[in-house]
Order: sequence, then structure tokens, then C-alpha cells
Amino acid sequence: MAPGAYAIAISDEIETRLKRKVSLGAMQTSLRRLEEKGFLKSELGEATKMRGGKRKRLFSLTNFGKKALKEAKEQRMGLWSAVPDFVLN
Amino acid sequence: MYTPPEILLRFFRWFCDPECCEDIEGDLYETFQRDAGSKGIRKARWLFIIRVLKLFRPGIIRPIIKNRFYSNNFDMLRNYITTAFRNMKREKLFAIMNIAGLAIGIGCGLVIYKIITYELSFNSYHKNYENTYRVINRFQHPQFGTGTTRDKYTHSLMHSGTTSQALARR
Repeated sequence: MAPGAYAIAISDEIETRLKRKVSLGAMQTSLRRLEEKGFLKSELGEATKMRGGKRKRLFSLTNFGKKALKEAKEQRMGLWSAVPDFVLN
Repeated sequence: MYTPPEILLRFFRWFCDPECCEDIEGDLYETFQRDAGSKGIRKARWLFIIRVLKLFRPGIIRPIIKNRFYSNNFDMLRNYITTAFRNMKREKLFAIMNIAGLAIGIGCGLVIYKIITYELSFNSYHKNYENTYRVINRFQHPQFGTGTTRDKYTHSLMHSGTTSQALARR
């Protein structure tokens, strides 16, 4: 995750890349659950006037989270390579 | 700078978990600014209301039990259960005997209860059935001894549930 990752930035990324809307509530709950499970860690950033004097919560991946991501990717690649050619053609 | 509706912000602060209240409020503020800039302040207000209501969900509402009514009872109960299981694991024979004894005891009690309710269930439609008794006659035929022989057909003692009319009429 990029250094400036907080709830709105992440949902913007999802909206532009995956072309789907994410509500703020869904974003916050999933971020909190990922943090509870130990995949993410967070710290409070600096306050700006744009945000009504409130601080941002900046999220970053933990080592455990990185490991889990790699595992998920490998599993998906394994499944993809298991699809026979004639199915796709 | 636009300011979002104060009432809704106050409502949000009331239900939100204090741990994450500040940063979510900041997010709400920022999205409101953005909406007000691009879609106009009226529409931004509506979107703000919807957003706040959507935040009213289990992951974000402040935990009720943890902060306000914290009690030690749950932890004590959990401790009792774990120690009980450890003891059972350590002294298996003793635990098996205890549990089996209790199970047999409860089973016997239930069986006795069922038998008694079965026996008390007959003829309960009579008027004074609690004080109604059945007269049983015992006969001993003089021809066949005292009834000590093993053969049941020569057994001299006989029971009869019928009563002669003369007795019944009184």
C-alpha cells in the first residue's frame, strides 16, 4: 500500500480501477476488521483544514498481511494455470 | 469552505466508537467538501445524510458491554469452565465415574417419574377418583396346599379384581 493510504484514497482507487462504488461505512468496517486480524496497521496523520481539523488514519501493510497477499496470489495463479486451454479457446 | 449539518455530526459522534471517531469524522468532512464543490450544496447534504446513516453498523457503533457495563462475571465463569475441563482431563477415571453416576441418577429419576405418572393416569375421569379404591379378593383353594410348590398351575393363592354384587351394594 502506498504511504498516503487512508479510507477515501483507497475507495477512490477502487472506484477508478474496478469501476464500482464503495460506501464509506463498508470501507471503514473492512479496514478495521483487517486491522483486527493483523493484516494492516494504522497510525494517525496530520490534521488539515479540509477535514475540519480532524486527523487522517493512515494504513499500511504488516508483514503478516504481505504474506497473506502473496499466498492468495499464488493460489489464484495455481487455479488459473489449472484451467485447460481448450476451455478458453 | 462548506460545513456539513451539525446535528448529523453530533448524532455520528454519539453512536461512533471513540477509537475511530476522529478519522471517520474527518473522512465525512472531506467527502462533503468534495461533493459540495462538484454537485452543489443541496445534493451534498443529502449524500451526507445517507452516508452517516450507512455508517450506523456493527463495526462502527461503540461497543456497549466493553466500556459501560463491564463486569468480571463473564471472565470468572470462563475461568471456572476451563479449570473444570483441566481437572477432568487430569483425573479421567474420576470424571467418568462422576459423570456416569450423575447420568444414571438423573435417568433413574426420570424413569421413576414416568412410571408413576403412568400408574396414576388411569380412571382419572371418575368423580372422586383420588379417594376411589379397587377391592381385590384373595382366594386360597383348600385342595391345593399352602402355595409353596413351584408349579404355577397348582399355586393355591389367587387374586381377583372383581367383587360380588352383594358387597358392592352394601
